[in-house]
Amino acid sequence: MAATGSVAAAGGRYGTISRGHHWRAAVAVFRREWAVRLRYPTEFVGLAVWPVLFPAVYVFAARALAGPDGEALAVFQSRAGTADYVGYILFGTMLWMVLNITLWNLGGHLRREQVRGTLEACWTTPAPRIALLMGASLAQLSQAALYLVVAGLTLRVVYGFQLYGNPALLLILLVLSLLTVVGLGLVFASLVLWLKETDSLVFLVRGIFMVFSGITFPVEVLPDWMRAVSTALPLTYAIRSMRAVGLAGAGWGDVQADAAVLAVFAVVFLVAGGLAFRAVERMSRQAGTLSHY
Amino acid sequence: MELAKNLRVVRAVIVKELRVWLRYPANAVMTALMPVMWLTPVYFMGQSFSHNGQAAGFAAATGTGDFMAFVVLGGVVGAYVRAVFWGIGFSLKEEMEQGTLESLWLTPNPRLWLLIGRSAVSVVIATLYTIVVLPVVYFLFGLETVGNVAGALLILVPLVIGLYGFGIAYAGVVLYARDATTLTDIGSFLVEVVSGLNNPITSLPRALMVLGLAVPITYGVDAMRALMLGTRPLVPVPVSVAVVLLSMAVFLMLGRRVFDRVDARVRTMGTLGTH
Repeated sequence: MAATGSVAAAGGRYGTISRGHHWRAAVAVFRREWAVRLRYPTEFVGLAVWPVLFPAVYVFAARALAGPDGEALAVFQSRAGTADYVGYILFGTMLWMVLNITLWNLGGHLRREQVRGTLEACWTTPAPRIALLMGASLAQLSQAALYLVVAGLTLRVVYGFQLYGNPALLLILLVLSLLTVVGLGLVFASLVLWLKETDSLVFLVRGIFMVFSGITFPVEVLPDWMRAVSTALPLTYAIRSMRAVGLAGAGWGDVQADAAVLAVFAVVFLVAGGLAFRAVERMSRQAGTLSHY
Repeated sequence: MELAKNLRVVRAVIVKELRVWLRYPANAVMTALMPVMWLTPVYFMGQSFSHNGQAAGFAAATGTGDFMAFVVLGGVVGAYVRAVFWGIGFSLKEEMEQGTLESLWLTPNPRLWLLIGRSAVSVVIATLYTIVVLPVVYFLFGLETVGNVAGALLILVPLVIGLYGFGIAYAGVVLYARDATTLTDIGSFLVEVVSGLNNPITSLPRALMVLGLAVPITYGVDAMRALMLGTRPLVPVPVSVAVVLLSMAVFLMLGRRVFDRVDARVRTMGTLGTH
């Protein structure tokens, strides 16, 4: 295989590992993750059903809250900036679902491998370990994109969901949001491997985002201390900026501050994810706990 | 004598299940926190439609402006719905994955009583969670309207018994389908949506409302809300009570028959140990 440039060798005794090796290892994991996913076709039923079913709880409660003749719509509009409570909720729930799926799939990736007994086997091959995680991240990114496409189509049919803003701007915000979420998933994957506990950590992290990020309400209705917490969460900026563009037709000037914050979150989480992975990898090898669970 | 033997089986299952539950305290704590996490966005959504603490639109739709009490009462019933789907049905799938189901099924213990033991644990845990969560919710969200609690509890009891009858039939479905994660997840969520646990079913689209009217839980929770919160009931409360009692009898009978038939079929197919 022609090397496109040398990088630091992951394991000295195997010699120099090229970027080409990294890429091949990542692609192999990407393909394996998709093969596993396709092996359980019922999960694809969920892919079509959840985008519609999950927001239903909030959409129908909001319909009742608005009143049979829209008695409370003006109150909602004064706080949310739009009377379209359905679109408002759908943006929040869609992005939260992407986070939820990422935490379970990418966040639980290393732990699942550990429980199945394949983590130690994979890590003792000469394949660069960071590339294995990159492959899983790429698989997660593609699955999140697929989820959003299916969600967009089904929500349009079921709820009449429509986008009004600039599609290119929405796409930029979406990519920044997905990179942030994947970065968070990487940090989470290492944390899970270290603490050896997936379920309760997913419940905790996704719960924090659910409570503070304003998935079904404008964060302005939160008490001051809760609003302060919401400013520390990337999903708050992702949801707010995408709602502004998609529902009210906001332009770049209106959302550039949120986009900048999202970009910073994306870089910080992706770097932190890489560092956390290196730290956990080193710790596991030194303590010899790779196969423990 | 036979009953005493069967009760010993139930006791053994209860001890085993409680031991496993207590072995993962973080999960137990998180499960207790989950309702608060689910209710908080609902509470603030209610706030975003309210002016000076009054949910005028909701009052016009349901007859009560106490949106949170409406949702919390639905949440109590929802805890049992989830317990039935996950605690009885899906736990068999977990036993399959752990490889212990086939061994358990090979013992001379009656399988129905193994399930009854599992159901008992599920009721106890769901009730414990409700008892722990309700004061927390009361403190955090300040529920106002509390009417005829005893009447509501009298409806809740047959409603829960009927639900567990359904749960036993659902356990049969899990045994047959094997890969039941998606079915369980979507099934339990769908039941919660169409039976109006989080919203009045009058706010559902017509097709879902028809589906909701076919689910006995809808009538049970509607009557409980009418008694406790003074909401406008879908049908007179005595009619709802009759529906709940009738469905309890039907589900108890149907649950056993469905489970026995599927159990016999699965043993013929020899798929108990595969998943």
